Amino acid sequence: MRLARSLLFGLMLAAPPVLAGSPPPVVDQAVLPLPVDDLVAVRSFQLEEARPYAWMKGHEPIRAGLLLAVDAEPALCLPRQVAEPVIYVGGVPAERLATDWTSGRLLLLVPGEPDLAALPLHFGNPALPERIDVEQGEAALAAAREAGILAFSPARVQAARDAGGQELRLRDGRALDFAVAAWIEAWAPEESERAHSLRAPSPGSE
Amino acid sequence: MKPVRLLSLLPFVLLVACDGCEPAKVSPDDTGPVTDDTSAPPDACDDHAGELLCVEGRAVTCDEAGDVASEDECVEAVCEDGRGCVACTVDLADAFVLEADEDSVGVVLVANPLGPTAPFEQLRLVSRAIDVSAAAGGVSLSVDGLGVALFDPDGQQVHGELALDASALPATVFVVGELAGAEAQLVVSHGQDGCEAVGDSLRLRVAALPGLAGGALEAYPWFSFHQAFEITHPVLAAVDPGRLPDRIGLEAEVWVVEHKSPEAWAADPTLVDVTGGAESLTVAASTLADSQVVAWALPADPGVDLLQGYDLVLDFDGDGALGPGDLIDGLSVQDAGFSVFGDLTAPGPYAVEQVQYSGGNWMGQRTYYPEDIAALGLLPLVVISHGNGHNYTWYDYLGEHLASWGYVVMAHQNNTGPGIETASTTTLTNTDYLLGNLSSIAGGALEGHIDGAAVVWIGHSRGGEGVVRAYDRIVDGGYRPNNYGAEDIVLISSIAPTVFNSVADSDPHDVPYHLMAGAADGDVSGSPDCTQCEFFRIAAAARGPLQITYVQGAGHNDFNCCGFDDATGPVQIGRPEAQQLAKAYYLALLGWYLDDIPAAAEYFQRLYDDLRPSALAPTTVVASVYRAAAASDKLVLDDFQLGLTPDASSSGGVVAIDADDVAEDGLQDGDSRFSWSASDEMNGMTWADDRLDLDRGLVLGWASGAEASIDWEVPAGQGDWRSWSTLSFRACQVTRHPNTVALGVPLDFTVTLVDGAGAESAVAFGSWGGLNQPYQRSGSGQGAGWANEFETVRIPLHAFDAEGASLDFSDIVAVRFDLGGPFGSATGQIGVDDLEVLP
Repeated sequence: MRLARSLLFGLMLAAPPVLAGSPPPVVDQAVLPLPVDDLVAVRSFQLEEARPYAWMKGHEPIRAGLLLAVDAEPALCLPRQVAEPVIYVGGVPAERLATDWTSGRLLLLVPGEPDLAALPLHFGNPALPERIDVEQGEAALAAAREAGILAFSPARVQAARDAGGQELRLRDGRALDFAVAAWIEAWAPEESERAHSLRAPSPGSE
Repeated sequence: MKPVRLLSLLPFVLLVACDGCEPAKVSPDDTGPVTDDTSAPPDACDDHAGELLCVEGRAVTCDEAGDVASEDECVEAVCEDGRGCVACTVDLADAFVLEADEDSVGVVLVANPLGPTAPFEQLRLVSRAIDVSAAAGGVSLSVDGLGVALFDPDGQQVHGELALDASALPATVFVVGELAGAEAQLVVSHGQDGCEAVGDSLRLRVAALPGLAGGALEAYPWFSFHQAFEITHPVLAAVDPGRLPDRIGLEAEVWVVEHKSPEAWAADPTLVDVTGGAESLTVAASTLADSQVVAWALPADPGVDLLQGYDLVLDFDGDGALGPGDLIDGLSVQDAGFSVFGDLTAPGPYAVEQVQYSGGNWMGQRTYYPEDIAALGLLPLVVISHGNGHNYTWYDYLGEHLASWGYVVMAHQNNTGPGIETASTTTLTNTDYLLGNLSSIAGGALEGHIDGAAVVWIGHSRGGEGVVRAYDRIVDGGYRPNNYGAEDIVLISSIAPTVFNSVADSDPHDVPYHLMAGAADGDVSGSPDCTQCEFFRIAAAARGPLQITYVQGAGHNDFNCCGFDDATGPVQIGRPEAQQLAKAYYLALLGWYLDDIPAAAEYFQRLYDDLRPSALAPTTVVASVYRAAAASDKLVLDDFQLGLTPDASSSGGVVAIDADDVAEDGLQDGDSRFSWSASDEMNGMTWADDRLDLDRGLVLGWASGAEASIDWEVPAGQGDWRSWSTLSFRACQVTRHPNTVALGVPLDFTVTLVDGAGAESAVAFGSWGGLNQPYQRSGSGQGAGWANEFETVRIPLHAFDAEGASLDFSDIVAVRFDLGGPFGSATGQIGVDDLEVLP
């Protein structure tokens, strides 16, 4: 991980100078896959009504998942319109909820109940997640393992769970929106406007 | 005060000699030729002492005793009781044409803009009134030739001959020009026995009236007739002496009036000037340049209503009303003569309400609408779909602006992260949600006030591709919204869209499509090494009307409030200016497509140098493209799509090229970078990807000091251009080519039309503006210059026959571009596509 990160810094230094306040340069695909730097917080949730999961081709609607707060290189976090590096938990693309690219803080939603102590969090090649199927996800995981990207330690995972709070039991996707809003305010307060927009009331109660 | 008339309004009497006839004696009272034959019955004068009688066509003079004193056989004369032999004279007279000019200059009619089935009350307004008189007896009138319609004094159209007996004379008939370029004779002959050889004629010609309102040009054709005026430019009126030679020397009062329909004009032709007083214009004999006058100087803030159109009238008879012989710009149901646009970036007349709500997961919406919507009817709906990592709350500047002008705007939460398919889904579902929940959104304020058949989709970035994909899913993919259909989407606009899909899947089909993008975009950059970034490929796939607004110095996130600063390159215009530009152009676009303001189209159809929103900085540079729908009525001379060699056009004509670096190929940069190399002839082109789609065009150039040309043969059978109005093509400078670098400024050249007799007429379009120097952004190889910036050049065909240029538009055989110093820019390398002739 340290070697890859040094390589990334080296590539970035070779790029044109970044002015203060300017976004980081586009990541050279050659440096991927790269690890997520730190797992900051984790909170699990359960849904009574399934909610679609569009971040992987053909994925079933979800009734359970994890909200994550992670830290990564800002260049990897910057939301772009062209294909951006896909964030995986194991072989499943994670849903990007909010990004504070200035600090490198990413908030994610991961379907199901993956074992974060066994599956690495990593950035794979730029792609549209909706086109990534199971086979491609497994290939991305294999590439990450081959690059030496490891899962977080059980202790780190537990610490993140402790920081994230108890499991949420929610009714549906709309309720999950409110939970995500709170998650944003807690772990990426720079994105509070996004949180506010998620809490928009139902029509008639505006 | 009425202007001094140069001509008397009294008709002139025209005596016509009879070839081969014996000169006749004149009767005692000088009323006509006579003979000495005396054969009246002796009792002819009984009870008629002292009278002058007509007996069997002979003039009989009775003495005081009641006897026949003398009698005369009228020759080339008509006998009238009390008058004797009256000479056979007939006359046609127009109020403005001298007798001596009746057969030479003649009467020049303007081509009827109303169509042949319009009622006479309206046709009369574009007619000429011809006075018909005869010294005695009746007459017979007809039009000899095609393209001119004759109407009797009661307004009934005459087919064949019109007989007017003596009791109906003098009379006024009306002639209307039906076909520009037509020529005919109005012929009158005497219906009386003995006068058959007597007649008169009037030459009639029909000319197209390109308009009256426009602006001066520094070179031929010296004047540009157009409909859209910025508040910062005066409205000029002009008459082309070459086109209307019968007006030379005449003076007219210039009236600027509020637009009226033809029906309204017919009901009330009174002229009411809005400018504070009528000007006067004298048609010079020399050039258009000398036949112009400021019709409306335009105050800085006239409180201009964008929906108010104006007509311009030249009142030649000075009677303060529109009538025969006057000229009008704007006699149309659809189009006013012209429109004046104030500051398009300024708020409109309505205060704006804003409401934010959510209909569920990925159904967050912020909707903007006029505060007084309850008093308004059905309003169009504009839906904004944001890009990846963006927020639906980032478009307040656009939502509030458009709502202040009477639109309902809804920006929605857009699921762009997974990709284009999900983005398109949220466009589809959010539009459906709003239309299906009007009773609850905003407390029901919108219910009954949204025109569900007038929906516009605007998407940014991935949302920009998403809205196109959404439309394609309805048209091709079987997606069935609940509350609207494909036919209800009347316009789609993409701001710097990605191109993840094949254009077969992100396909605008035939809906009107607009693309706006910045050349300083640091995300969807337009670079040739990024297939996802080449947004012009979506534009190339559009089959409906296409509009492009490409802005030098604008970054990707300049078009929202809050995305990171991605702009890359020199002379960045910044977010405030980019948003001013977006406000102006979207207001014009919606005004054109939704509010029947045809003049607003000129913001997309004229070169940016020629018409630009007044609120924008003078340093802002824009490349505008307009291409008519593929299925529209037009003559495509060359679109280069058949994959032929450069010496043959897609229409089947021969193309003769004398130029350097000529190539015809897909509009795709060959080595995926903008630096020039001789092997990459299509350098800078980003309209095609040969793996997925292929828009083709031509490149050619000329070195400094050299001249070049490209000549397209108009195929046989395609040369009658009398029903067309505009020659159009799009062209660009080829980025980083040595010629382009050497030139370093906008480029222009001359366009020439050639007719079958070899006559030529040339227009240097530089008078309107030039083709942009490519945005001087570095990167993507060596040198400076970003993607090639196609711009549409539209030259009205009437520019080629200004000032009497005698080009035969019924037989155009060639279109030629003349390139080089004598014709425009001294050097250059250009791309060319879509050479068309339009109605």
